[in-house]
Amino acid sequence: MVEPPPPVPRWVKVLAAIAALVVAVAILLMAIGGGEHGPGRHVLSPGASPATV
Amino acid sequence: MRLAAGPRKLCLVLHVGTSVGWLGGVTATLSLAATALFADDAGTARSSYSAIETIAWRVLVPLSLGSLGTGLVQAAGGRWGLLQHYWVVAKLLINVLASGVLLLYLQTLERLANAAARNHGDPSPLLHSGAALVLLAVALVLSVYKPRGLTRYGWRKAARRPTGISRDASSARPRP
Repeated sequence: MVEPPPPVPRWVKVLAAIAALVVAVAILLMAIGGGEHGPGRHVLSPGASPATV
Repeated sequence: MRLAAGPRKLCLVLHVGTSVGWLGGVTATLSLAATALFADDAGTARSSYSAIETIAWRVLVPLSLGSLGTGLVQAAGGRWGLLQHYWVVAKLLINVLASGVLLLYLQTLERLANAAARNHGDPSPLLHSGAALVLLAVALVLSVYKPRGLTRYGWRKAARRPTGISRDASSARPRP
């Protein structure tokens, strides 16, 4: 009889849930901020006002 | 492939040293980022951003890549394996994520330092260094506690072991 693999430990599920929550919040903040995130948000394009910074 | 005891211990020393150094460097940048954010004058902000940029290039990047490299060798050449235990996989993901964000953020730091007069109200460096500190603290806790849990790959590998080691025993705590 084949033994089933062990279940995923609870601490892994908790960490994964926290990571998913943080990613969701980050996406939400990006959506609220007009998607301005990452290195590009600090780049000053010609004719544009300094972004957020 | 297992490393011999000597190289394995040397690798462990290098991994702990680079990882703890990285944590210290991030703590320093957190302090500088707070200084820049709450500075009353552009000169203080500019100095703080310049210091953060210098620390990032000369301390954080070498230490993060050193931590990643020695961690890979340590895990793959040690008893834990790279993908057999959840805590090792979690640390690997944290390391790759933190190193990747750091490398992407270098350009932003340079621009912040160059335009400090306009930028010293930007909370971005504080948020990024705070997030990095939390991630590295989680990695530190995982390193010390080594919570149990075999991945499916680790479980299959443990099942194939000819030594008769049970899966429970293999998920216990071998010496690093």
